[in-house]
Amino acid sequence: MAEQRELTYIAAVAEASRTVLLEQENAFIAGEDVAGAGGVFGSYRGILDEFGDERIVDTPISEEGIIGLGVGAAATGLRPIVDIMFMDFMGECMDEIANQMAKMRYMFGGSASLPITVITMSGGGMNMAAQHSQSLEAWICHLPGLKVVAPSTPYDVKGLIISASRDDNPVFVVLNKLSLGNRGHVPEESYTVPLGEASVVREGSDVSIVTYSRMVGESISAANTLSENGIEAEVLDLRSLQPMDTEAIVASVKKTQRVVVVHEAVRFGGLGGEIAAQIQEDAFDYLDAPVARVGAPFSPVPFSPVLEQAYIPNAGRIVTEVNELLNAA
Amino acid sequence: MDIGIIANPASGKDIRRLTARASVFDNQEKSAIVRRCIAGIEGLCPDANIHYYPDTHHITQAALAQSGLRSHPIDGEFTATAYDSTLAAHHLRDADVVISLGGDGTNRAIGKTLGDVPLVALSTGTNNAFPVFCEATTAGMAAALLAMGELPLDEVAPRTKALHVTFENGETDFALIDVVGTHDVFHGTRAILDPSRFVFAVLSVADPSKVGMTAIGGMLQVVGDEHDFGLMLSFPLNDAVSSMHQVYAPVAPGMVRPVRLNEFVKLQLGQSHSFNGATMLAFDGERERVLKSDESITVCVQRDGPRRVDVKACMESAVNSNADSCVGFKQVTKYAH
Amino acid sequence: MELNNEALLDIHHRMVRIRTFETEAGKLAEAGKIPGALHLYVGQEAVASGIMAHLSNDDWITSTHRGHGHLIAKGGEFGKMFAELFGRATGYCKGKGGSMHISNMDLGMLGANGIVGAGPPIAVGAAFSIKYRNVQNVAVTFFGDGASNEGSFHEAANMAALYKLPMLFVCENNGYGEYTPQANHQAIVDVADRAAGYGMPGVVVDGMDAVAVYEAADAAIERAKAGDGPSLLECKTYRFFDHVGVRGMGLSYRTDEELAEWQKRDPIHMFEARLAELDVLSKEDAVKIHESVLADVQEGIEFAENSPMPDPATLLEDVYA
Repeated sequence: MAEQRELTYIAAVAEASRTVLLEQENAFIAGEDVAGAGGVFGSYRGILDEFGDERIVDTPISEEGIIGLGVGAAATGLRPIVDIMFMDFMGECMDEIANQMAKMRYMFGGSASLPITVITMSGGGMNMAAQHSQSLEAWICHLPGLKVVAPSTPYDVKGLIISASRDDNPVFVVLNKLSLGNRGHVPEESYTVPLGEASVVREGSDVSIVTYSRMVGESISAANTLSENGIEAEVLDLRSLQPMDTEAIVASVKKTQRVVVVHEAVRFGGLGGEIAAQIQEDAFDYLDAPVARVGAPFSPVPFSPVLEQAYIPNAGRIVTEVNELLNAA
Repeated sequence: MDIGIIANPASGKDIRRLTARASVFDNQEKSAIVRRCIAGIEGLCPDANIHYYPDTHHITQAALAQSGLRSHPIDGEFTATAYDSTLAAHHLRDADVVISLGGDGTNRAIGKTLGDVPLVALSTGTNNAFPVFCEATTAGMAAALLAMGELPLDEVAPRTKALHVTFENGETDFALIDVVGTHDVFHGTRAILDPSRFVFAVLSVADPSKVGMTAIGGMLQVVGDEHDFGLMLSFPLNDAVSSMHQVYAPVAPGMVRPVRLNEFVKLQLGQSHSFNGATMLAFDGERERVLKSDESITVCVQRDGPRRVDVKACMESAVNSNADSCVGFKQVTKYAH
Repeated sequence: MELNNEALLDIHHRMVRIRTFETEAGKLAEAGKIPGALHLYVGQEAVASGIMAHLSNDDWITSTHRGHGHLIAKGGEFGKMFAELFGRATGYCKGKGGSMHISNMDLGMLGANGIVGAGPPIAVGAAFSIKYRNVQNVAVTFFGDGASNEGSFHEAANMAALYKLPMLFVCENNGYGEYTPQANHQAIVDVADRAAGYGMPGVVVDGMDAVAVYEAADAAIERAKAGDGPSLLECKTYRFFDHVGVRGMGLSYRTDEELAEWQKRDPIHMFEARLAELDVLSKEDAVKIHESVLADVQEGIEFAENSPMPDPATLLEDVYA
């Protein structure tokens, strides 16, 4: 068998961006430091040289202006990809996201389309402290009119960005900064990962771990540890958070009868609560135990590496939670 | 010692920032200019009373806020229109000197009622044939010296010329630099920009180093402040095939255009000339009044414009003079030595 | 663009259409026939009309919560507008937007907006789009003196100037941010002064004089299309009705005398007086235009009243494409 082509998570962003610009003449990229610097994480390295400054545009540090630029350009026929460097900066542009981008089509009775892709970076673990480490995907998932994806692998990064760019709705691609160096198989050609489709990344029969983004990796590690003790966990990578693949969640629950929902975001008010409620509504009779949740405690993300390590969910906590769940049953 | 200040908040903001490249004077800058004037006055004449036009933008109030000078807002029924400058100037007829901030339009409004009071006209407008560009601090010092008296008024602040317009119904109007008839039919943004619409012009001065109509006339015949005559220009119809003269002139700041003219004729002081026909009358660069097809006006040049202060002449005169009233100034100069 | 008789009558017609629509809408609102809040444009007609006389359906505008006038001046149909105000299925937004979100993409109208200051960044996007496609159009954002204090305005102004976008920032300074007089909400009097801080020209225009607005817009559009970037036109104007509705909530924040002073400079009355002097439009013909527009408005109201309410089954339609 030929060796599979591998890319890092971040290189997949650049390759996806390049693919989109090649495929769609009305697509352009705008954001802080995206052109000349190639993105502070390297997301757009090489794009400026290949496509020129009409297709990739450095913006001022003006998040509200950046989102507005995307909304106005999308409504008038372009297909923008806008980059919000850190998800934490959404506070600066929440009106343009929540009141304009999300609602424009509906308020206008369906006459406007907003084919805009927002690429942003979430998650902690890099000692960036409380304002550069958050996982705020629940904010966006709460807004009708927006779609949200949160890829865990380089393959999904590329496929979901290309899908997002082809969708006629606003789609947020929530990347994870601690995953940037992760390597994985990425085909060279263009391909899509459909929006709204979860993926079973590890089969199991004893418990389902429903998760997304970097916690997929932690969940697989946890599953491997559990496996040593004879517990086979199924890991479901949601990939899309809005729309959410409830069907896949229910199918896994029916198989294992036990669920732990895992995310890096703060547990209270996080998507785990929504997922638990959906399971309760659609698969209550299949449950052998209450739905368990692993998430960050109710505090801002701390700075000190020691504190941050204690804060962010990891494989160990997932193992503990699964064991408690199984012991309780 | 009474010194008046009239700062026009509306000057320097019209369409010529778009059509041409005229200077922008935001109100912070105007306030800073007044502040510099006041510093100049305070240094020489701490006893001065400042009588100021209380504009809605608080330009002068803000500048006076940190000053120790006694200040008094002029008490008038102001309406935030050009008439305010005229009304304020009327109240300042007994002042020793008045400082204005504006362009030709502002000084025209002031000149209507100011009489014989010397006027330090600082330019913060668009077309600035009348006011001067000079450092406001020194202008304030010159104003203080004038207020203290004994500068030779006719030398440092000679009377300028003015254009008097009389309508058939007996109404009169007044301009400092130019009265122009154009083919415009609306006041619109007031600026006159399109040379193809010019019909006639009467100039008190024709200065090729300025902008606007005065420069157009000045390209054919220089008429200085000191000359006892003005200049009349007539322009060909838009579609006329020939004209007598063509000049390249700065019709507005940042806008140089070819302008065709039929003739230019001197108009002696006191001599009247009448114009008729449907035109828009513009005074000192602003569309102001409609002249209907059956109406006519007469225009006459007189030497009864405001006494415009020559700041450089004031300062030099003070240095060269032995007048005791210039003690304050001399202390300053002595200290500098 | 030459301001010939046809253009003058066109501006006049736009102003009368706005005035008549808004006056009748105000009556209907006071009679309780329109749900929700109406922010009426009466008094400011010269601004929308003087600008929109230059624009085609391929030029984009963003509007404000006081947006009916902008849509009418851009060519909005009375029937579909009233239907939207009444929440009917035949409205411009199928009853899903109402007064504060009334819009029409075909006319290049990117919506009234309930959020003060939300429009300028969107117009930056529309202008970017025009520049990207290399077409000869402009984007115009309308906003008020109040909105000029929002960060969104400043971000948009900076970006538009930075990218030299074909754009007009049109500030309708009506002297009040909702109920707060300008002197209590900003330390400056001329919003045009803010333009310099972003590297674009700003001018003050008499917003009660349609020809002044028209001339200034002409110059700004010429600049924009020549690639010289955006301009800020501050139109000094006044709203003859209250912030909301006609008489509003009866708050004592401005005086009857002030209103009366501004009404002396009614943009339609002044314009009609001059058009009569010029023999472009006689007083009798002006009356006929008002009557004819009123008949159109009444027809629009009738259309709206006879239109069906939206089917609750359409509730979830158009959340997504």
